[in-house]
Amino acid sequence: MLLNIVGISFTELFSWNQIQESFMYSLNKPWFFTEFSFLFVFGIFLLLYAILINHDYWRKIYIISFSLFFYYKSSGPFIGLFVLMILSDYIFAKKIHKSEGVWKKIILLISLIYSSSFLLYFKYSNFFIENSNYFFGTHFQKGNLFLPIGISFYTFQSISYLIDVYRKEIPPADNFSDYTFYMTFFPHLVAGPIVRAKDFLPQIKSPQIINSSLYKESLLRISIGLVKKLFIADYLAKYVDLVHLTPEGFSGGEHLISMYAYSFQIYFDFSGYSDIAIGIALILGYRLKENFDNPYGAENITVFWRKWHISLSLWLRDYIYIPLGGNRKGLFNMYLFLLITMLVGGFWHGADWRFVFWGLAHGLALAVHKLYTQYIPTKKYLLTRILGIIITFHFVGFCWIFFRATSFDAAFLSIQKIVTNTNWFDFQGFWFSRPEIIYLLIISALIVFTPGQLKNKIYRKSEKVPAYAWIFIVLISLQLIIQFRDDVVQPFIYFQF
Amino acid sequence: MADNSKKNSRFFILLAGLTFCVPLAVLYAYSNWSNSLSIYGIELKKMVQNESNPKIDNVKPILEDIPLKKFKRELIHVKDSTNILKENNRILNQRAIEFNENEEFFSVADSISNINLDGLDSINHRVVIIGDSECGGLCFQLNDYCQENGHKLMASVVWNSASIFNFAYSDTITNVIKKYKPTYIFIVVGLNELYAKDLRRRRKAAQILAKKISGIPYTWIGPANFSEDNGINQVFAQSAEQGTYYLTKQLTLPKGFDKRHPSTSGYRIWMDSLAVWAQTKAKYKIRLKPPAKRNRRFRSKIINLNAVEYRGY
Repeated sequence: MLLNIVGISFTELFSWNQIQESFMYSLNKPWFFTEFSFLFVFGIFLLLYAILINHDYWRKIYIISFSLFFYYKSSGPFIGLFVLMILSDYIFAKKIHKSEGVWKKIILLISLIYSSSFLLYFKYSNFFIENSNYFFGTHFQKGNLFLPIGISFYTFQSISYLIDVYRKEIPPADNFSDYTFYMTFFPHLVAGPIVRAKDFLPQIKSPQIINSSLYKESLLRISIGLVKKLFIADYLAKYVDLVHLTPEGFSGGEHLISMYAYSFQIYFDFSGYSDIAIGIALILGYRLKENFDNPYGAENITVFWRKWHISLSLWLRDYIYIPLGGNRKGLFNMYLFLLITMLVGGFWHGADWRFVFWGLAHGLALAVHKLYTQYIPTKKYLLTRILGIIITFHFVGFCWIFFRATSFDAAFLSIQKIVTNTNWFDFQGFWFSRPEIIYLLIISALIVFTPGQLKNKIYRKSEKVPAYAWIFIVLISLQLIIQFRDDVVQPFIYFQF
Repeated sequence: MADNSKKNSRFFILLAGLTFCVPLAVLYAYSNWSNSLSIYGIELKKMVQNESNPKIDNVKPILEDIPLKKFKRELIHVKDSTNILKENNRILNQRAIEFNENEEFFSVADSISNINLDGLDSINHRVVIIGDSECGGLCFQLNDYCQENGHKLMASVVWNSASIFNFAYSDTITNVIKKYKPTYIFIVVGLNELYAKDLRRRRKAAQILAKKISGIPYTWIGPANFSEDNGINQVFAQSAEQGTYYLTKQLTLPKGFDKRHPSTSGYRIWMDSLAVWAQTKAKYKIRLKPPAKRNRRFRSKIINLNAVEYRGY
């Protein structure tokens, strides 16, 4: 009746085909958190979740079902592969737990090979074929492979679970549904954070009580995440994509601006995703660990890696760097292990030499910084700290060029243009032609360089907002996003990893 | 106590569900509503855009024609040797155009006194001219006309080596409009794509450009051809509104020293004939009586860009 008053009929709003389509997987339109259809379905999901919240078993089944549906909407038929992996991990972990001595090691080895085989096949086989053909003259045919969304993340989760059980840091999951819940939990499923079983399994049985404070925190995180992604990252992406589409057509100044823009884009994109994931998990009663902690405010590269993609950094530390020997086997080996760890980290991001180079550059920087602090103790003055932040930010931004460029040649061309073809005239033209990008860069810089304590203060202020007011805040946030966003929503950068 | 907590949890989860469903339902209903809401003059965009692109393909080209047979014949005798086009610097390679006052030339504007201009309004326009390198020559002539007729030339955007793509796919024009708020726009583009064969792509770009400036009276000036094009004039004329496209290629203009652009006298002739057309045949007519004095002081801003260094999109 109300809708009729404003001139809308229900048949215009909903059609049977639309409803059917919304339940089917679409290769061209995978589901992710920024899809408004997802947010609406999630709202409906919460209404039913409220009824099941006090029934442990049904709550678990309900979340698992929704998570699998979410994965199906994102990756379609690969859901079968994912379920197979979960089942095998569960069985392997039980076997590892029961075994002793050499058998235990052999089962662990088999389980690790098995778990990583999916990732190796889908993500890296074409890379190895290409390089084998290039370096050894072989003639293997490359496969037409589709990378299942989130495979890099859940493979690392699976590996960490198996190793933790092997090390007896955690017992294996009590039952299959618990392990399935941990692996499939949709907030972290497709793009992290990489959640450790030891942090998450204990929460399954006793989710947090959702009170006013948790409710507000959750909605604040989701709203911030949406604005970060859809408003800032996607807008910057439009410009960055243009530059990297035809890098030869842009001047050094434009490449330089593109470097800054991408540095902010990737941060707002990925931290925005993490914010949404953490917020969604919170409203369900589960707390995921933070994945970012003001990384561009880091005064050196070591601190940067403690603040950027924290779950991956910790994973690499605990499952590669420390098992290799860490800092226990002499200085030279420590630097070597650092390099190896960062090379793995780079390769994890993508099957391309550009990512390997990116990892190598960061590994070298970490080694150089460790060496520097070992022999030249530095006092912490404000000025040196600011200088450190500027240098670190520019080094990280420089490395992002390799991360974003479409090829090595394109990356070098971009750098060459920045070094040899940047002049003040470019910025004048840019300022006139794309002032909104400059405004957005300034806003981004203000956000990323604002100290964490100040941000926390602002967060705490939001607790004073009445609970019902959040309906209007979300409405305004969504309209703002609609008002300024691009017609095409960019997928999250980390989906491809 | 525990029961209270459970009830609390249930309440806040329900509220969270509504916090997502209600705003999205409202926005979805709004996007299906036939009307639009505005706040402080800014229209609230809709979640699902239903409007389809306006079909411009069906618009028939009106290539305005000025009988120029006599004009052409006389132009053949124009001497071009006294024109000096200085490459001032790369910031503005056509800023220092000097005109030889003693040169004899034919101007169609001389006959404008015979034209009935009663239908023209008395508005003093805020004029902006945007275009490729040819704009760099034309803007000085337009400056004379504007000062004579009480219009204000707000800015000239000279985008050297630019094509329709630069204008269509960059935000430059939008920003120029936003900044200078022109009431009349001249666009001159096409010299760098006379022989383009990808006309379909360029048609699309031209339609985008036309859409960008729609709502503001404008004249789209075709490039000064010295040889036959591959159809770019046709494409632009079809993309612009009826009666807004001025077909320059019908003029025979004296060439400049680079044999590519018109000479200074060529620009003057071009502007003079354009002025006649703009007052008599253009859809958006503008008062452009011939200036009593030429080469007046150039007071407005010239924004010089180079597409080789700066594509804009």
